[in-house]
Amino acid sequence: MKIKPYGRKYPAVTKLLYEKGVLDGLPKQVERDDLQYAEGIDIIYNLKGMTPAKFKEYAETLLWIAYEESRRYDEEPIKFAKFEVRLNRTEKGRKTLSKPVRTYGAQGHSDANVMVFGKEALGYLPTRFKEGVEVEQTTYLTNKVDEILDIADKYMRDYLSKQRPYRVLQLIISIRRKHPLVDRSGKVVGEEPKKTEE
Amino acid sequence: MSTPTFDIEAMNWVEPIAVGYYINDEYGQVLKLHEGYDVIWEFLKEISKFKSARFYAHNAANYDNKFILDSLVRHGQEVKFAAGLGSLLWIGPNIRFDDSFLLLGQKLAACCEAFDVPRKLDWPHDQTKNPWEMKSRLPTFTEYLKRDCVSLSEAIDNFSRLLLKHFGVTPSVTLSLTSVKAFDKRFTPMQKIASNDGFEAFIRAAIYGGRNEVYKRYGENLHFYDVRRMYMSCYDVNVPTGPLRWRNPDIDKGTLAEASVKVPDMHIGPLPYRMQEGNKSRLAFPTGEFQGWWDMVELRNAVSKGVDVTLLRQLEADEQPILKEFAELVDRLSHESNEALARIWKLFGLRLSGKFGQRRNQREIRHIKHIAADEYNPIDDQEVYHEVYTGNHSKAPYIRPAISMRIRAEARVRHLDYLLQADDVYYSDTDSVYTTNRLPVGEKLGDLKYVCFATKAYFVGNKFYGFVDESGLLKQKTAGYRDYQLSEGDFQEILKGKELSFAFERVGNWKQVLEGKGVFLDERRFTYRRPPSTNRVMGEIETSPIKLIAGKVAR
Repeated sequence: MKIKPYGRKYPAVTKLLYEKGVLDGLPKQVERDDLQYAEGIDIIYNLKGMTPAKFKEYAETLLWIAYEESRRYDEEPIKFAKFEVRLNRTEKGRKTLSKPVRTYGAQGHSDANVMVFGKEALGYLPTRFKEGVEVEQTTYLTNKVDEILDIADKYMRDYLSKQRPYRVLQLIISIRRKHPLVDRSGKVVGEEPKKTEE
Repeated sequence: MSTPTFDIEAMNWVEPIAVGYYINDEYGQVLKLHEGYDVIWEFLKEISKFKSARFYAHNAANYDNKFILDSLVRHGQEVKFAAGLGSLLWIGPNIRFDDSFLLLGQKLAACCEAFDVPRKLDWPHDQTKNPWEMKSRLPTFTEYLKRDCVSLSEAIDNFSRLLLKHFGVTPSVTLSLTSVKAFDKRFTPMQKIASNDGFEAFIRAAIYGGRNEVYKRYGENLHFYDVRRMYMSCYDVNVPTGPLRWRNPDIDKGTLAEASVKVPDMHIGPLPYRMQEGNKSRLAFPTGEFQGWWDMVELRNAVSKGVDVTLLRQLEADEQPILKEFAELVDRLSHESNEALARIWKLFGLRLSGKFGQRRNQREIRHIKHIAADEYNPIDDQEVYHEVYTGNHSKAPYIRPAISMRIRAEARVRHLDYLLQADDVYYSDTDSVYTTNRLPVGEKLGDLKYVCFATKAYFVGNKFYGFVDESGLLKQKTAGYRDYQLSEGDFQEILKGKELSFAFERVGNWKQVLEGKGVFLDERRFTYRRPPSTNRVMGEIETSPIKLIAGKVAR
């Protein structure tokens, strides 16, 4: 997969955030030719001083960036994205939470709009069955933003610093194309699998 | 033909130096020859000729299979998680690596005793070194490794023969799956029991665990009793076998119901209730007013204890005592066996109802070849393995939660009767009663068994207590904690609110292996402390049930 250079034409929303000092430099596109069964590009946004309050303020804009960047590669079959978050653990937190950097990632989708905005883009509530109960499917980037915003209020409240509970470090948007028919050695390994029933 | 087995030995738990294996009645081993020698990969290359073999290792899910997974992934081999790390399939030569602990449920030494095979040899693990450093100790070490492999193989062979003889089945990945397949083959075919998929949400709402409560935090001269095979003793009851249907509420009829209850003030609440605490829930037996789903067996028992029950809606199914004969056969086999084998049969019987109530697997780890675009959710840096959410019910042909609901409800009812028989009760956990009173004991399923006498006992919280036995020794039960031995003084201090911190190391998990971090020791810490909240109101010594008003804790 070939990188599409920005040619100084960054998405307008990227320029806006850069000018506001939210981004730690301009985004970088990295070719992922190291993958065994897929190829693709990672678009890396380093975020500057992204504290919970700032993240709350810019969350929707970051979602918009993820959408714009994924759309630039609309013809590619798989898009997904993730936020990297550093937890500022208290002493109690260090005993309980072993990983200081957590990833909050959206599951892949062919449609950038759906991958980022989930139910809003689908126009209905996506669900799955859990022990016979229909529950909302929360695998989209917008759900991951909600999970990050909940970190300090809900499930990790007692384990993180009250003043600076976490910092969002990066937004990484990934574009992928699988090598569906051959593996690395060139051996035919099968057809593109069908989507599993939900 | 003997059951293939393998065993990995390592220095400091994470540096493998030898792999022994036993297949086709022959033993083979791969020893680390020099620094940088990949002993696991050499082993895998050596066994790759045994296409479609199924190798067992004891406790493989927590140990050996992590090394296997790490090596296969590093060498670009495709693996399939057939049952998590409990059953790992190497796709190329179609070789499976299964965990025999999941099948036998006991330590290897106990399995050797159970199946009358040569005992596991002793080897001090702190003396495990690189093979070239062990010198004269090497033959003893390799003999130990060989015995582990051969004994495990013979133990599984013997168990297979017993299963074939009595139930006409061969071992499956886990003891619970083996148990349900045995039941299916020898007693009632699963197809004849309605799965009631459409009502699963209601059934699951009526499934609760065992009662675990602290009634007094400190006691002297206590008698500890257990109910003999509590769950299996309840297999004589009618269980729901037919399709569920709605019916007009009637307390004397039906299978399960949603009800609004008023539990009068009493020392031991009769009905289970899930107390929500954030995104977690805790099982309590409160008094007051609340609403929920319960098995009718439990609701009828609650009425007999003075609870005011208003049924809101009710489901009914045909019921039959289909587990009775299974329990009788397993009980007979237990009595005919030695003590160690009896424990395995006990687990075999118990796991049946557990399997019926098993939660449906919602997540699978799949190779990239077997995922669609909208399932792309990589775990590892190479993006080869993906965590996929499934909602596939057809893969769980043995799940019958209504049966599990009934057995658990019946067990709680019988357990409550024993607690009420004991006037002065201090602690209970699923099938145990700790009291100052003497209770009648018996030898039959469901009778009480005398466990021990405690001169002093400290009940810090649920599954966290210590007691001094007749010989003056302090014994501790600290489930969920590492069992670092505490002193009697520590228990007294913890009860007063003191915290004691410890650190330990354990082998990292499979996700870390897939992430390319290899097999390493991960530092963990824990603190012994009085739990901040429990399922009863804790006083200095005495406790009382939580009181609810409209489902909320009364302040």
